[in-house]
Amino acid sequence: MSDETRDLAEEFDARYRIVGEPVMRRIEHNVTGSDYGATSYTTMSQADRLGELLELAPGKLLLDFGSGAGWPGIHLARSTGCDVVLVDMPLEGLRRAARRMQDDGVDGVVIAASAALPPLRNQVFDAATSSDVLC
Amino acid sequence: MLRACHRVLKPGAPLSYFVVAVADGLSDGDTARAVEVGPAYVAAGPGYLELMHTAGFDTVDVVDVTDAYAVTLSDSIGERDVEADQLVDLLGAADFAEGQSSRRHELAAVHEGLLRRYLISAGRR
Repeated sequence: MSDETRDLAEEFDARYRIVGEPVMRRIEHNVTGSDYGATSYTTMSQADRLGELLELAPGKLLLDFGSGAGWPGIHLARSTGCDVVLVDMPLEGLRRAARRMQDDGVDGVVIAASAALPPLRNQVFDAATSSDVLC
Repeated sequence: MLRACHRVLKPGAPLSYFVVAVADGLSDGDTARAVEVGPAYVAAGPGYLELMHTAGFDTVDVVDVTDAYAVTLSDSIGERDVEADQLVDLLGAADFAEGQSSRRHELAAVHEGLLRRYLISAGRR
C-alpha cells in the first residue's frame, strides 16, 4: 500500500468515526436523504437510479467498490433484494457497514481490500457500482 | 480499479457509478487547481472514457450530474453552517473552519466549470 493510499484510508477512518454522531446524521439526512454515514455526494434519488440502471433484483450479486459505511450498496440490497459485497480500505467504515447490514437484515459481506487488487473470484458479480471513488 | 471490476463481473454485466472529474480542455493551471480543491478521488479529464474501453467495457453512457453535485455541495455547506455550534464542539473550531473552507473552494471550482460529476454506465465486454 502506498503512503498516499494509507493516508487517505486514515483520513476516511477519521471521518467514519464521527458519522454516527446525531449532528452528522442530521446533516447527512438533510443533504442526501441517506443515514448510512455516507462520504460521497450520492443522493437517495441517485442511489435509486443506480438500482434501476443495474437491474438489481433478488438473486443478483452486487459489488460496491469503495463502499465506506455501506452507502449506497446496503440501501440497494435492502431496496431491491439483491445480495451485496462491499469492498473498501478504511476499517472503521467497514465496521459500520457490517453493523448496518445486520440491522437492515441484508445478506452481504464486507471485505477490507484495495479496489485495485480485491481478493474476489473472476466473473461472479451481476453488477458493480461505486460512488465518487472509482478512478 | 476498472480492470479489477472487469475481472470480477460476469460477461455483459452492468457497471454504473458516479465520479467527480476534472473538466475537459482546462489549462494546466486550472487543472492543477481542480485537482487541489476537488474531493480525494478526482478522475482525470477526457482520457477517462478511453480507459474504460481499454479495460474492457462497451456501450459507455455518460450523464452529466454536475448541477446536482453543486446543489448537494451547497446544501452540505449550508447545513453545516446551521449546525456550526455543535460541529465546533465535535470537531474543534479549526477543523470545522478548514472543512467549510475546503467545501467552499470546491463549490467555487464547480461554478467556474473546473470540476464535473458524471453518472457513467457501461457493460462488461
